[in-house]
Amino acid sequence: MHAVRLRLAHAWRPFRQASPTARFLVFSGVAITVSFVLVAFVGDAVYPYGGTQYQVEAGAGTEQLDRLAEPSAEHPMGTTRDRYDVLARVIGGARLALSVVLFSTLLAMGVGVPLGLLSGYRGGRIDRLLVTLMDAVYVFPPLLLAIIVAFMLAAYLQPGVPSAAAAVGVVYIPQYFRVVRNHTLSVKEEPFVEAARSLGAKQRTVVTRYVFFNVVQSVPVIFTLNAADAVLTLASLGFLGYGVQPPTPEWGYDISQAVIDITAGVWWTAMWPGLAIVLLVTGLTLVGEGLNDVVNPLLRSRGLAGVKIGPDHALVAGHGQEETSDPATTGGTVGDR
Amino acid sequence: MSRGSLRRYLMARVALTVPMLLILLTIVFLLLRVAPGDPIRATLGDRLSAEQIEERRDELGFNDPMLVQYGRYLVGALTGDLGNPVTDRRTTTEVIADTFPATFELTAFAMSVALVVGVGLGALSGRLRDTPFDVGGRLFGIVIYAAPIFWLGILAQLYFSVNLGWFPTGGRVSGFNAPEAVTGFYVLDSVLTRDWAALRTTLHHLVLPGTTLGLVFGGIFIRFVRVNMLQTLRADYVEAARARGVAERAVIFRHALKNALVPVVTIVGLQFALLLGGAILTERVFSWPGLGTAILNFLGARDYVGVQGIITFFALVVVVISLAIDVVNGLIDPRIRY
Repeated sequence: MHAVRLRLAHAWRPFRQASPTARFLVFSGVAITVSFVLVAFVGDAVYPYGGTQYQVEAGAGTEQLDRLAEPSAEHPMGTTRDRYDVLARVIGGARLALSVVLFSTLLAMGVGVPLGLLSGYRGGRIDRLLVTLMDAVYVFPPLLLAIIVAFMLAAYLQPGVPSAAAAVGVVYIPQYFRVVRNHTLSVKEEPFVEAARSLGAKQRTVVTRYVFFNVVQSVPVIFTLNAADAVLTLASLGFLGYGVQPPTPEWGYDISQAVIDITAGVWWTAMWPGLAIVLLVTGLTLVGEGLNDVVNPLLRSRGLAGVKIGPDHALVAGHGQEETSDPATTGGTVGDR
Repeated sequence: MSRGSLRRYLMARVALTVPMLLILLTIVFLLLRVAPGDPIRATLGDRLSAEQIEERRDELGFNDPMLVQYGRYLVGALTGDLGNPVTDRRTTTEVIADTFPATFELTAFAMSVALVVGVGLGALSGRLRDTPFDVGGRLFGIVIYAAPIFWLGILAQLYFSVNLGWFPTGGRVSGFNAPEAVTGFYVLDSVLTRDWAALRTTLHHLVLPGTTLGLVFGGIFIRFVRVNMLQTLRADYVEAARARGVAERAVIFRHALKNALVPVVTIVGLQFALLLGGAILTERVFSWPGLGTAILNFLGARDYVGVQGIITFFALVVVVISLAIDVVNGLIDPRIRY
């Protein structure tokens, strides 16, 4: 218990030391992201309309919703050409975006992290092959890659969350691979890894226990930055018609449907889903940027919040390294003891 | 650093592009064979009889063993033969020749906007760290990048074209004002043929899509230049310059900014691939007859041959760009050597 509290305090320290700007950015980012999660998963239960609902029960029969109704008390963001309530679709789009982002980054991590570990730890020919492969994927225009994967998957799968998540996820594999591989390269030369090896630890143990837990720390920053980008990629796919199956609410698809409304002076069908994208991506980016600022101490400003650059700082960093390298205090093993 | 090491670096880098190109081409080849059936059936399956399909398959070599097809594809890709689309009378190479200039003009315009906005605001933000200007600049960078290009494009159309009537809603020129075709690059062609009316309408059409695309990428540059500026402003040589009494302006521009821009070369190159992707969306919104439009048309027609040809072209471009970045980096930064 004490160890856990110590670790929490340790993890918190960079936040307390970060500049007020960095802290402000992280906290507003977290606030935005959390509100989106709430809207996505609670809003649905509270809001009277569904994302694909175009009629309501009225007495004995049903009554259709108005077409292209202006924002009003009844429909705060108006209705679409297909009689859907825009706010309900924005809520549904949030749920879809968040689930696709979650599954796509899980996929990218699931492939990128193990391959990066393998490549960095093994080295040699397999490393060269994987690096070239990943570089080739990395330099390719990501949106185009996602489109092609979505296009090909459409031959096998009904377009939905799994296929969209796969198309979006493929794009981010090389980033996890790169970061994890490079980090593994440096960690495997650390004395504690050598110590573990010389004590006769199996290669498996060395990689999963000692290398993995050190390397995995760099993943959250990439995760938040990728998550922001993934929202945009999904929306772009949807806009081009390679997202999920209509009429599932999806921001990009909804904007593509709103293009014709614009010439008629109808702005609310395009405006709200777009603003939702901007807000969610901004929130996620702020978290990522802020984390980056906090985790990457070189960028921390001098004098502010009492952080000193120089020998003192190196000491702090060295201490952190030491502590995390001790298997007794690494996150994954605390619970075991 | 001796001259020999630079030559060794360049040669090693060029040698590295071979496996990269091979892997990319192989991925493209395999990716488009993942789908069941074949291009003929996918495109024309409901319009031709079984015999006709078989005939077309033979004609286009889809009945050959996979390895033969692969070999033919590789040789074709490297010799500029990118296949014959099923749904277009032109060869893929001709389609690219017709559409690439439009995409190039759009991306070049966008890149200039991105650099001006990104380097300007980024350097200022870095210099004025933690002031309201910095917070504003960073937020602008983040928010503009967070905005989907197609959404910004639609809003720009709504406001500047529909409401104000300042710019056309789409296309490369209005009416039949295209300059006489020399190279296909309208800006260049109209200058070559001294057709100033064509130049005017070309630039007029470029402003909205180019600025939309450029602003979004400017957002990335702002963040990147700012961070680099922060790092160089802290470097010893900047401090040394200040200690020598060099004027603050000169410190910022000659010493800090110049060095802060070195890594930007890499980012510009990397963003170019992203920019090509962004161009697909921009082209869709502004009915811009470029490569993005071409590939979307082929995708819509399920024309695998056309899709494969254009992606192959993208792959070639991307490999050349990444080679160019590394060569430029090697030339300007003597520390980068193998």
